[in-house]
Amino acid sequence: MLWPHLRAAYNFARWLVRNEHDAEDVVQESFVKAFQGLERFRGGDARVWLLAIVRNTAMTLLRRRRSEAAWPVDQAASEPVDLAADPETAVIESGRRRQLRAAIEHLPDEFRETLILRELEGLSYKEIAGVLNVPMGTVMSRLARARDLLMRGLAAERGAR
Amino acid sequence: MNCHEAEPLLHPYIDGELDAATAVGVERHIEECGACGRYFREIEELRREIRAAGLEFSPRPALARRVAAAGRASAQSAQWWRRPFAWTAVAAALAALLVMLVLPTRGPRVGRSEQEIVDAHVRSLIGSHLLDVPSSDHHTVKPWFQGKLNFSPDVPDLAAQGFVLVGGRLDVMDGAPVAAIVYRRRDHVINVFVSPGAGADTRLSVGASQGYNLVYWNQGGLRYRTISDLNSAELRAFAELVKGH
Repeated sequence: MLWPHLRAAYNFARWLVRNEHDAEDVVQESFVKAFQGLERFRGGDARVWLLAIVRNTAMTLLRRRRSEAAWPVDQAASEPVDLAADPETAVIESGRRRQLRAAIEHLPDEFRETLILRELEGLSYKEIAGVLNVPMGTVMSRLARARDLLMRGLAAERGAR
Repeated sequence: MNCHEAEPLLHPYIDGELDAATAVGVERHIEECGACGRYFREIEELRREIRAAGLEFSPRPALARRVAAAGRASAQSAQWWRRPFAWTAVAAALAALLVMLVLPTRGPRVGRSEQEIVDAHVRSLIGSHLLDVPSSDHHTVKPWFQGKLNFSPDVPDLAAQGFVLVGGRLDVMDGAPVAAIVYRRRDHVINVFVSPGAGADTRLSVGASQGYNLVYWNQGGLRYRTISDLNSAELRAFAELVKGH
């Protein structure tokens, strides 16, 4: 019931925390939570349910990382690893693709998560609302804002070169 | 539709979230309006670029092993083969399999009633309405039905045999309220529909429909119909357990 969604869980976690190591930790923790909660699962969409757990787990980790980052001592260790510097993505990408990836990566959390669920995971507004625990109207406005920000960011980057 | 009305609808239009009438209105507007048409094509272009870029990350194969190991470690106490009586369920499943191999399978009851069971089962899986009373405690589930139905279904505790009670709900079948008791075995949901108006046949009757296995029987003036995507031997073993309780 949950295994078919491992790839989606990982992709989502990876875009939220923005490095491989943390994403794997988030997925592991989320699956353990989900296995434990399986008997309380009230039916409905297992993918939405699992992605909601992934999101909460990732957000907890990000909050912890950011509060740690407020302490100068830990700053270097707790800065999110930039995807471009990640060995997995250090393969030579086309300039445009790298720009696109970086632009999405730099979107604020609430716009990035909405965009990823819609464009990469293909979730409907209703499903996204379920994962993020927000009304559908919020999904609609965040998605519009995410796309606008992305288009503006890319235009600025590309226009400048 | 003017720009003021159309603009907030462009994104839901692109995402296929609008009803047909509104979608037609937006479509007409972006054909007529230069600015909105341009904006629409920009979003479309962005979406095309994202799709073409293949930005999805795939997990390393090692992650599945790692997650499975962590899941096992956390669920060690729940490992079914370490539970008492678990082997009884396995033996019952094997016995049921033998019976089914040796005896010719009785044909399923056909027709509307069977379709109703499959529909009710599928409905419970795709909707949010699997449970009205989520509880693994049979002392909670059984009383819940009292007062809601004019009969009292038995809700046996079969956790020791590997069938975990998940809860119960009211459902409607053939136009009459029925008790639906929900169990889980591994990832398989089992619905047990209990309704009054039993026939005389107390033997188990086995069927299959649309990929689901079904087992029926009558007992104590009640009609039991159970359905699951669980394999038929285990579902039959489950039915024996419910019946023998």
